[in-house]
Amino acid sequence: MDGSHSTFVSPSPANSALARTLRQPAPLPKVGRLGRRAAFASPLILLIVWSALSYSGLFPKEIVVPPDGIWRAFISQWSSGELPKNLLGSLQRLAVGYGVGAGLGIVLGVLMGASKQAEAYLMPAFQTLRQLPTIALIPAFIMIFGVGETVKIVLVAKATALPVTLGAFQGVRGVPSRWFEVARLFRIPAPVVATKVILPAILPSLFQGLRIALSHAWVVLVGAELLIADNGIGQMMEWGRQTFRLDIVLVGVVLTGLIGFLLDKGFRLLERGLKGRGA
Amino acid sequence: MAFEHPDTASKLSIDRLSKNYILDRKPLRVLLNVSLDVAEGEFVSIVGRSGCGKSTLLRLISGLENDYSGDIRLDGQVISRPGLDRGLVFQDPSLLPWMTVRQNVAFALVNVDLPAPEKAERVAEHIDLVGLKGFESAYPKELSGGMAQRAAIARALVTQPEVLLLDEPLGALDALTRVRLQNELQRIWLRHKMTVIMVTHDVEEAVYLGDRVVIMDPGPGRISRIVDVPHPHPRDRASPELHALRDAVLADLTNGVLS
Amino acid sequence: MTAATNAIKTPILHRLSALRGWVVPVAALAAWDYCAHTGAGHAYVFVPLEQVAAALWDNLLNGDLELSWAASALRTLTGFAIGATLGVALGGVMATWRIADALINPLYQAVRQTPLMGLIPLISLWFGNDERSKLLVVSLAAFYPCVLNTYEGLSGANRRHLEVGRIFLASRGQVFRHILLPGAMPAIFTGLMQATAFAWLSSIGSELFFDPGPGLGNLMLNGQAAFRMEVVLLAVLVIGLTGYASTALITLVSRRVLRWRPVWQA
Repeated sequence: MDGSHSTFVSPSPANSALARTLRQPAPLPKVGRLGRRAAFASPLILLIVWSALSYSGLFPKEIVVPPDGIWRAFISQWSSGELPKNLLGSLQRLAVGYGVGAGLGIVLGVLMGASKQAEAYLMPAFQTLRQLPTIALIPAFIMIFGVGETVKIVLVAKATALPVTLGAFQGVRGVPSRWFEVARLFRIPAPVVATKVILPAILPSLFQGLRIALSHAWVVLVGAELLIADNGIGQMMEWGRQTFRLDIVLVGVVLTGLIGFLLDKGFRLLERGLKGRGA
Repeated sequence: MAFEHPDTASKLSIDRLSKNYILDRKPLRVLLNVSLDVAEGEFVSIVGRSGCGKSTLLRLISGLENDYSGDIRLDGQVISRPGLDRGLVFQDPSLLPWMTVRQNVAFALVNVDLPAPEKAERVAEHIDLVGLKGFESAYPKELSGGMAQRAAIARALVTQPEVLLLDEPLGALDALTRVRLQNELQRIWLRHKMTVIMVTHDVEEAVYLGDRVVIMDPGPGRISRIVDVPHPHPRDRASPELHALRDAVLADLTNGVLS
Repeated sequence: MTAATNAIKTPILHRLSALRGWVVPVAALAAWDYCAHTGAGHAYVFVPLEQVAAALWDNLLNGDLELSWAASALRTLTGFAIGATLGVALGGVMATWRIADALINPLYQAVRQTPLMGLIPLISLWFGNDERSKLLVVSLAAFYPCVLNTYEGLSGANRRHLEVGRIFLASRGQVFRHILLPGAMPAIFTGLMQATAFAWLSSIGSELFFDPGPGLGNLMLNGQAAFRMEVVLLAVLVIGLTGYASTALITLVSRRVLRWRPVWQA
C-alpha cells in the first residue's frame, strides 16, 4: 500500500477485439430489430428450407409433403367446400366461446379489482381454477356436457376467462387511488369517471389479457376439435391423420399457425390503434 | 502538503483533444482542442455546465471511448483502450448485483496475475480502506447509496491504478452522505497520493477536494479557465478563502447563463 | 366501543376475514353434494363427495393412482430435462453468435406460431402414437419458453455492467460467465417456470391424444369411458395439486438462486 506500481497483465489481442465489438453503439434490442425483419423473412425461409427438404428425395413425398402438394390439397379442400365449412365452424366456436369467456372475465376481474371484499371472497377460488389446466378438464367437461358444440364452447370460455380476469383485475388495481379522490373532489359524476378515467386506464392491461386469452382459446379449440369430431380445423386434421393424408394434415398445420399469427397480430394492431387515439 | 506547480514531466497529458459524435448524419462537436497536464499525485476537479463534455473527457481518458483526434498520454504512453492502470468510478455504483461486495471488488483483479491469497488480502485491505469492513458478504441490494459507492471506489482502487477517474461519483447521494464521502475521498487520497481526476457538478466539492479546478464551457466543450487551489490538505470547509474561490468559480460558471 | 373491546374484536375479525376465501369453494362443494344426494339429473356427473374420497382411497391402495402419477411425472421430468436443456442452449447460442441468430431466428419465429396442439396430428403420422411421441410433445412444450426467455435474458444485458467488464479487461468468456449469464438468470428462470407448467400440462394432454398407456390423462379417459366421474375428478385434483407443487418448487429454487435481486425488480 505504498503506491508502488501495480502489476497487471498487458491487454491481449483478444481484449482489443472484445473492446472493438463492445464499442459499437448500443444496438436496438436484438429481438425488436431482428424480430421485425424475421416477421417477413420467417415464412419465406421456412418455405425454402421445407422445399429443400421435401424435394431432396431424402423422405418420401407422402411423409414430407412438398409445398405444391400442400397447395393442391388446400385447393381441393377449399373447392369441395370442406375447408370453408371447417374454417367457419372453428371460427364460430372461437367467437362464441371467446365472447362468453371474455365477458365473464371482464365482469369478474373488474369486480375483484374494484372491491376488496369481492377479491377476498373470489380470489382463492379463482387461483385454484388457474391451477387446473384446461386441457386436463377435457374429459371431465365431456362427461358433463357431452360431445356437442357446448363442450367446446365451454372449454374455450374457460381458457379465455382466466387471462381476461387477470388482465381486468390488474388493470383496475393499477389505477392510482388518487384519481378516484380527485374525481370525488371535483364531484365528477360516476359514469363520466367510469368512461373517461377508469376505462382508458384499464385498457392496456385488459387488452393484454384479452390477447393472451385469444391465443389460449385458439390452442384449446384446436385441441378440443382433435378429440371431439364433427367439423372444424382440428377435426379436419384428425381425419387427415386417420386416413394417412399428410397433405391435409399439413394444410391444417399451416392454417392453424397462420390463423394464430393473424389473430395475435391483428390484436396487437388493435391495441396500438386504440393507444394512438389518446387513451 | 501543498503542490506548487505541476511537474514538467506530467503523469497525464492531454494535448488538443477533440471529439465528434455523428448525430443525424451531422457531426456534433463534443470536445474541441482540450489540453491539460496533470502532475503525479495531483487532485484535479473538473466542473462545467451540462453539455460541456466533461464526462466524455473522462471516458476518453478511461479508454471506454477512443475515437478522438489529438493526444492522450499516461506516463508518455498513448491511451486508446481501457486498462488496469486507470480506475474509474461512475455516478451510479454499477456494482454487479449478483456479486457480494467482496466478489465485486475481487472482480477487478480477474485479469491481474497474482496468487489467490494475495488477491484476497488486497481485496480485504481495500474494503477496509473505504470503511466497509464487515460488509464483505453483503449484496448490493443491501447497501445504502453511500456504501455502494464506497464499494465502487474500493473496486477501482484495488488494481492500484496510476490514475483514479471519478465521474460525478457523489451526484446521486443525499447531501449528508455526500459530505461524509467527500471526507472519505480526501482521507483515502491523502493516504495513497495517487493522481485523481474528478468530474463534478458540485462546485463546493470541486474546490474542497481539488488542487486545481478546471472549468469547462459547452458548445463545443473546451476548457475555459483553470483555478489553482493552493491550500494544504486536509482543508477546512469553513475557511473564507475556500468560500471565495468557490464563489469565483460559480461566478465563472454562471457567467454565460446570467449575463 | 372502548379501545379494549376494539382490541379484542380485531384478532377475531382478522381470523374470520381470512376465512372469506373459503366461502365460495365450500358453498360450491355443498351445492355439489346436494345435487348428488337429491338425484337431480345427470346422476353420473354429480357423484357424491364420499364417492370421490372412496375412489381416492381405493386407487391409492391398489397402486393405480401412484402408477399413473409416476408415469405422467416421469415423462414430464424427462421431457423437461431434454426440452429445457436444448432450449436454454439454443437461446444462448442465438444470443451469443449473430450468425446463428440470423440463421435460426426466422425459422424459429415461423414454427413458433403453430400451437403445439396443431402439430400433434403431424407428430402422430411422422413418429407414431407411442410413448416416444408423447415425450416429443413434452420436450417441445418445455423447449419454446426456454429458448425465448434465455435469448431475451442474454441479449438484454445491462450496458453499464458490460462497461464494467471492459474496464477490467474481461475476455469474452469472462464477460459471459460473470456478467451475461448471471444477469440473464432471472429471465432464464422465468423460462424454466413456464417450461415446467407447459411440460406438465402437455404430458397429460399427450395422453389424451396418442395411444393409451399409463398416466393420469389415461386414468381420466378410462374414468370417462366407464362413466365414473369420481375417477375423473380425482385425476383432475391430482393434476392441479401437482402443477401447483411443481410451480412452488421452482419458485423456491429461483428465490435462492436469485437472492441478490432487488425487491422492486421482481
